[in-house]
Amino acid sequence: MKKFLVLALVAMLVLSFGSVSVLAANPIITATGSDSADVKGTYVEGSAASAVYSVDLEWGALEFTYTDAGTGTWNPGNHSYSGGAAASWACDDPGVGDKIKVTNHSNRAVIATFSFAPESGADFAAITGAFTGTGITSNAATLGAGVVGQYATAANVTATLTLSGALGSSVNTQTTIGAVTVTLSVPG
Amino acid sequence: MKHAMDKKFNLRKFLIILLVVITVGAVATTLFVLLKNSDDPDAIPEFAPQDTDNNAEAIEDDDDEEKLEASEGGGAVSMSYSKEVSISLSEKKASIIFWNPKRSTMDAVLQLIVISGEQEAVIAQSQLLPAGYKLEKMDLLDTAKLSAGKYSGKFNILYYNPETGERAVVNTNIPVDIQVKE
Repeated sequence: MKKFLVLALVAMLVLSFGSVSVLAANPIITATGSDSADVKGTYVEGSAASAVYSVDLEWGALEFTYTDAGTGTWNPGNHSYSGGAAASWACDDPGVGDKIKVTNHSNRAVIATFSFAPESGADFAAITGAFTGTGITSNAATLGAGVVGQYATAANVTATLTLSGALGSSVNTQTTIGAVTVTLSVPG
Repeated sequence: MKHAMDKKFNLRKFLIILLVVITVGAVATTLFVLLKNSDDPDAIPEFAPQDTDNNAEAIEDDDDEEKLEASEGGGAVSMSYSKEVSISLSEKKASIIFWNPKRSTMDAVLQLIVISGEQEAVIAQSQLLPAGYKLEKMDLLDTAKLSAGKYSGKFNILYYNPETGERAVVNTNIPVDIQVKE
């Protein structure tokens, strides 16, 4: 019985060595021989990050006062006026109330375009608005896509609104004179 | 005596007629305002609509209680959106994505506009979308005349002060691609 078991085990060992040598492409038959095997891989396209648009928009009170041109003080000695001033617009809270800030938290770049449209009516028809600020060209700025892990430093632009053109003299209380539109488009 | 009674009677008659005239005037004014509004469903409201939009849903997991900083008299909004809009003519609905998170200091009203050359037509307009709410469906206006195909369009987003209901002087336009299906 023991002999039979030993024979069976030896036979199994021999067969298993045989199957390994059959499977190897280049069986190692010398003491210093070598073998190689291909490592195979397949490329499967990962899911592309879909566009996620997320933008913050902040604005000041946007309240302005128009001062009409002043002729100044008459000087009878030389028949001239002195101390006159040209008509002008001034923000009631300069540096804060005339600002519009756009911050891009999207994973795509965004173009912010600023425009001003006066209210309808003769008193407002001559008013125009311009937007200036770092990175703004022709009232528009491109804001780069958000960078992973850098929320606090997201691309942003701050526009300052300046008005020009005359306001009708009948508007002597705080009145809506126009509206600002911020258009958020994509490059290309 | 009779003269005094006649005078009293005439005064009473005058007061009744005056009250009737005032009542008729008030009813006529109310009807005019109501009918005017129903005739012009895409008019930009000067003040915030009273009702939250039927399609508005609270944004889940919007736990950011800290509002954006807004200077006095100004406003601040945080918006998330998709530029793709799909319209089902059979359902008379537009599928969109527009979120107005709690961080915003303003409520919003959304208009969906189709652009064809120089022509623009409002095809859907929401009621109020308060901060903390999102809109993923819009009901098409009855006046919207569309057929299947691709269109250029835009969102026009208007902002309203949640305390006073006043419309902000700033609004936002977002160009969108509109796919219309039967």
